[in-house]
Amino acid sequence: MDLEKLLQKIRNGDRYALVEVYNQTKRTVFSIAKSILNSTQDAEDVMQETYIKVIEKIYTYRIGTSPQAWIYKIAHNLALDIYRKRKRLVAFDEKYITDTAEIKDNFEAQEILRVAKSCLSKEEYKVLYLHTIGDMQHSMIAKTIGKSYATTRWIYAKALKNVQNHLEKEDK
Amino acid sequence: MKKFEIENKLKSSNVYTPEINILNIASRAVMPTKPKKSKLWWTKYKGAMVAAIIILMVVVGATSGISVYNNTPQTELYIDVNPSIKLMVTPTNKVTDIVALNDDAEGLFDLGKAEDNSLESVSEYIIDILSVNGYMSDGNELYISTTGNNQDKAAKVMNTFQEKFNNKNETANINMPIHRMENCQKREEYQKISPAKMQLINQILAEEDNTYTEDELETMSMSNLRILLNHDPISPNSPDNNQPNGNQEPNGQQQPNGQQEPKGQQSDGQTESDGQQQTNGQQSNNGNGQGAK
Repeated sequence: MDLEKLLQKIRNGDRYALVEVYNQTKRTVFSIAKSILNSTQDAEDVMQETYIKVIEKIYTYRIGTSPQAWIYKIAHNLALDIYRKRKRLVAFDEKYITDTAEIKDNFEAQEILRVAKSCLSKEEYKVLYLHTIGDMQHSMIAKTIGKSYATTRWIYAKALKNVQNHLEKEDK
Repeated sequence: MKKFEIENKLKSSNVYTPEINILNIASRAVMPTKPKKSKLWWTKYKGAMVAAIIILMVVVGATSGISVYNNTPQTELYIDVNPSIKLMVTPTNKVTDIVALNDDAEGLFDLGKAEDNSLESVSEYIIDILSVNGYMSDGNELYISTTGNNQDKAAKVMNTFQEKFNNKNETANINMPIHRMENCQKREEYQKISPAKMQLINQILAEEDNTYTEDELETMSMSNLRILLNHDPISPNSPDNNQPNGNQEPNGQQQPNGQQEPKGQQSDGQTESDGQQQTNGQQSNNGNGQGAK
């Protein structure tokens, strides 16, 4: 069923329509949280919070606008909140923390993510992760992170180039 | 490794997404109450409406301000033949009113009868009225003067009238001189006297041998004032005495235009009786006032 119609159903009191919303969006929601927090456990927490917010804030969704963008924005903001809190509480260098549990069966992809994490800026990593692992379109990424479509494309191309260079260096 | 290979490896990786107890969340989450819709639909557009109203008020205010300015007379054009009138002229050259300054002009002109109230049209109308009523003749003279803060505008108003007058002179083959009196100062207490006439009166009063009072001079016509200023006796053949209306007393005790010239008659005895008689004689013979020509 169309995501907008599902949100309409929730507005009309059918809270169990959330299950279908979850099935359609869970991978991307998780990817968004993971790309920011780099922790599977924290990303799971963000996922739960995201769907609770979907119900609680259902009336803030404006009919006619993109439902995906609305849900992903909630996830993005929640993940950023947790990231900021975490940063305040514990001083750590997250570049060296690489949790690739979500792709543990694929060693090569894990290696690429590890290199990406070490050589890319936070934003570059996020865009690269969301487009590849999160399977998000550039237009949706742009809406979620609050940048223009062209900027998102450019960040992605730059990230890919950096990862390529670093992988080549490591091979040598 | 090529870029597309990196992309493909990441995209094709079997991504594990942790499962959360969504049913539990769906049942536990607190459904918000439906927000009440604002009864006043337009409150959504309140800002835009206020801005629109302000803009509208500014536009209307500016437009009406300009309109009021353009429709307020800024220049007064005085025309003296012997009927003396005043035209109230707006900055856009529209005549808002024709004011009669003496008895001869009363009822002679009617602004409502002009085709439109542009200065050109009203000028033509006035000249036509003067012509039809016999005021435009070789022996007569026309005086124009203006008042107003804008001297350039006043000069243009005079030019417009003078141009129409000269055209009429040419087409009717009349040699009637027109006298312009520029930069006249209008005094509020003399509403019924043109600045040109006031100027002549002041000049006469300033002469050492003047025996007339201001009140007496005010009742005289422009032609007679000119004659006095040139130290000429007031002649019965002066244009003033060639009134076409024929509204004079038949016994000749008054000037044809109803004006008396007591001092002139006293100081200049040679014209007193002759002038009266001749005037009366002409008028009795030429009731249409054209006999002097």
